[in-house]
Amino acid sequence: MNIIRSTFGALLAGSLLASASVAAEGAQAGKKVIFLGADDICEYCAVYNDQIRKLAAEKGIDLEVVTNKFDPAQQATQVDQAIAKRPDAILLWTIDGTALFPAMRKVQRADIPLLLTDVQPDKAREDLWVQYTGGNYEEQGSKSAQLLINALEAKGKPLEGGVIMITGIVGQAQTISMTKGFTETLADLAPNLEILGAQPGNWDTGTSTQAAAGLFTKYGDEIVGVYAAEDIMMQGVLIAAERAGLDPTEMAMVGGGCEPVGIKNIKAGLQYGTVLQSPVDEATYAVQSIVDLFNGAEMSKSVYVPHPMVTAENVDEVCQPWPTN
Amino acid sequence: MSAATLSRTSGFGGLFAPARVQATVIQIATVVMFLAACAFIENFASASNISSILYAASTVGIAAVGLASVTISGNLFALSLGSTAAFASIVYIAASGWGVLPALAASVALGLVFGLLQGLVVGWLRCNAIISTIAAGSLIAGLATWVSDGRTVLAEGGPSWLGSGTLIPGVPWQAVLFLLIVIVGEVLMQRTRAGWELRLRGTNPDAAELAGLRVTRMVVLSYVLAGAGAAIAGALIAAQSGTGNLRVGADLDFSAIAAMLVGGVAIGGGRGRIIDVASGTLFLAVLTNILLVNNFAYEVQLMVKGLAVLVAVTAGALLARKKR
Repeated sequence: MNIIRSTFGALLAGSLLASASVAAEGAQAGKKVIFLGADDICEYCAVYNDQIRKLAAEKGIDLEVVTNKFDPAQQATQVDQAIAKRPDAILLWTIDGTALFPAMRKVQRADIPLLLTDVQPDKAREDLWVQYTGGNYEEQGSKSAQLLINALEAKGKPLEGGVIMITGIVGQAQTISMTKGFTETLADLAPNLEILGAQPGNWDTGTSTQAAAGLFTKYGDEIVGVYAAEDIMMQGVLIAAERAGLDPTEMAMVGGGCEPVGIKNIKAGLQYGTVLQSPVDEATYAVQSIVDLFNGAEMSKSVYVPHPMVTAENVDEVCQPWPTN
Repeated sequence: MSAATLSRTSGFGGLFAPARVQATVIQIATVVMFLAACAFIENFASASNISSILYAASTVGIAAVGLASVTISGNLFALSLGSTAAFASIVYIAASGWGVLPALAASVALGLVFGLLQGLVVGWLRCNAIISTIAAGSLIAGLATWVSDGRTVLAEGGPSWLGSGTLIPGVPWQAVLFLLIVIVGEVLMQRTRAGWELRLRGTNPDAAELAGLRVTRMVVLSYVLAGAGAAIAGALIAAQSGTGNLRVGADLDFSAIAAMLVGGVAIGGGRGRIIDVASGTLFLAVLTNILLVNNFAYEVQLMVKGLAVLVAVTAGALLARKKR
């Protein structure tokens, strides 16, 4: 049995290597691309950065990865430095969609193709970039609202009462879009569910714990559901609920991202659901965007990664573990 | 601290002497704010909300107590607290299979080592304190990223008694640990030779050196304490959530500095007590909680907290001028 497994494994690895070398023969092979992304300090970013390095190498792309600690000013400087190196293309994960517009204009003036990933700035300025690939945050927020309604129905509860939100960092493009998608869909589908309050959790468990604790103190039993924009923030909500003596299984708890801690909480029954956003998908789409650019493929302005809704029923099927090095 | 200052600070009247008035005002303001919130804000005095305040205060407060030894010794701030806390959170969770206390000890050991190294660089090699600790912070963050591969480490079985246990309803074990650290820190700073030497080094470094005090050793000690404080804070945050990652302690540097300065510790060194750090921490924790419980917009919270720090620091500067 072990011999069969080894032989099968060797054949699989061989075929993958072969397909990689075939793919590396495209027009993208040998092209110099600078990726300006986010630092490994964020787990999602760390997985994304690992994946894009691996996938770009498979396609023969000469990818230089430059990261920063979520500092738009530093990223603007990094854009200047990247332009000076005259790469064949720049792939940009904008730390701040709005603040980086002047930097994007410089890339356009330098006649370097600009591709965007993960953060989609205001579409009104989409003449500045060739293509955006990544998450559709408004859709994610909308699906989170749908999941919250599904959760209440699954628990046999009426679609009425209070909901609180724990959002990402105030002012970020993805926070604005997720909040818009969630609030608009909730108002459409369940007008008797009222959003009582919202506080930023800053994509951090500790901050989310404090934020949720404050809202639980103020609204307590009025709350029937909680939307946290990311699973690590939902972890903070669950801690706050436990301290407040609230039973999370009696509420509609919805996170986002299919992150390891979210998978754990869904399986434990503490969190009803999440919405997939995979760093592996995003990196794969970004590399495909580079390949399409150099191979003259038709490029639409926006290509979104899939965002299926996830509950205990399909968590193992949809939420694949994030790869490790 | 001169003998005259010491005599002024003893007794009830000493509470409002120029050197103590900021700390006293903050302590009174904390109590008044807390009582008013209990009276006028629904559910504010509930056990769960009190424990929420204490959880927030404990982690920031322990880091601030450690940091205070650096500031009081005249070296401004250590700006590596956040990255030390992040690394310690990862170590705590990774070692949590051994039990709570061994995991805590492993985290503290990490903080002691990083603190010792920074202390040697600043105290022995006489490098600039701010630049050295910024560099150390970057180095520690890089090491933590390398060790963790940037991933969140999850504890088997979720939060432990250290993360969610309470002595009595509303008083978590983390708050008990904070109280013990404040008492030990206060005694160390006010009642021991090392504490005197630390404060005198902060008041006048040249005079302390000429007087033959153990200046280098005290500076090294202050960074060791700061490293340990940050590491304990990181371990406690990790214990609460059952997760360790590089985001832990992202705001710890600013929060600890704010708590310390609001409490009445002088930026220039020499003045301030550990109990002042505790009251500054509680003041900000209660204020933050009031803003959250009333669901104030985030920008309002930022403005109010920023204003509180600004007023406290300005008052401190004015009082220091009056003292001269």
